[in-house]
Amino acid sequence: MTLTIRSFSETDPQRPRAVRIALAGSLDTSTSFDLEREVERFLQEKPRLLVFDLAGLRFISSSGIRVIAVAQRRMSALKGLCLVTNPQPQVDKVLEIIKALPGLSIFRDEAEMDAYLLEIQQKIIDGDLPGQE
Amino acid sequence: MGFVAGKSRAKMRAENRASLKNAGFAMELKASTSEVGRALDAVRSFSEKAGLSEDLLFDLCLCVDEALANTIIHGYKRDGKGAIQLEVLAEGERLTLEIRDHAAPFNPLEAPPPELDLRPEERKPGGLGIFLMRSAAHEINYCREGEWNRLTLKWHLGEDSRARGSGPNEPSRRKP
Repeated sequence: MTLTIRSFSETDPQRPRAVRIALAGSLDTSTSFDLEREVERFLQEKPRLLVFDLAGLRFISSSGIRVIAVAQRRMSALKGLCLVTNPQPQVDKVLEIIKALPGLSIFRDEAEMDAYLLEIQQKIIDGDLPGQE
Repeated sequence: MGFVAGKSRAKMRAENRASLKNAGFAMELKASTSEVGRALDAVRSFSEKAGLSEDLLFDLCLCVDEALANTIIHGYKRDGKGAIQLEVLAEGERLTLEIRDHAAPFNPLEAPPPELDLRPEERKPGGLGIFLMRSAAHEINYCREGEWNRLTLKWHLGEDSRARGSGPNEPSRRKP
């Protein structure tokens, strides 16, 4: 099983720079470097919002978790937000057991994340983001 | 056990009560992270023959990935040459994973638990993987045989998975 990475960068000037990275397949020790490289590429754009969509992800190990955790730390340094959405049950189970991403926002689905983003949208636009520690 | 997200414990027990078909495979790997993908593909192929449940397959893949990552990255320092032997065997109600390598002696069972309050990149290398293996497998044994490390993990069908897990975590969303 391979890892498929689909990424989108929003360029709407009316909205803060946002990147969405949708993952499908297996995020394991042999594929995590591919994600690391993709994340690094997008971080050069200094986005205000980075979303990992895990809807299609069927497997994750600590190597993959580490990549997301590092992205979270980098986004925090950029005073941006890093969110995770749509983790499937088995992937979510690993995230919970390992308590892998302290402080990271994980949402069951798009609706839950959208509601959260709506709540803080004004703060994002104003550059007044809450701390992520 | 820990919790089973999205699946009732009763359903999982019922799945795990079914016997496995006798099946197995063995393969040799080199100390390169790309080899982990090859091993996981072999495990998934084996799973179809042995009739593993989705949860058991996930746990087996997790242990294969974490054990190989520890050996390749920390044991062999990704030298691309170090030999690793992987063997998986399903018999009746027992599933066994065995990994052998001849890197420096290392007993993962003596590794301290990870500091879960720290961010993953701040924790000591290898601790997370070992913690996940202990959470996913029913039984883990290590021994040093001559020049070889031998790590054996077992699952006993009919028992809940993650019997040695991290406690009764409740599923919850984490928001700032």
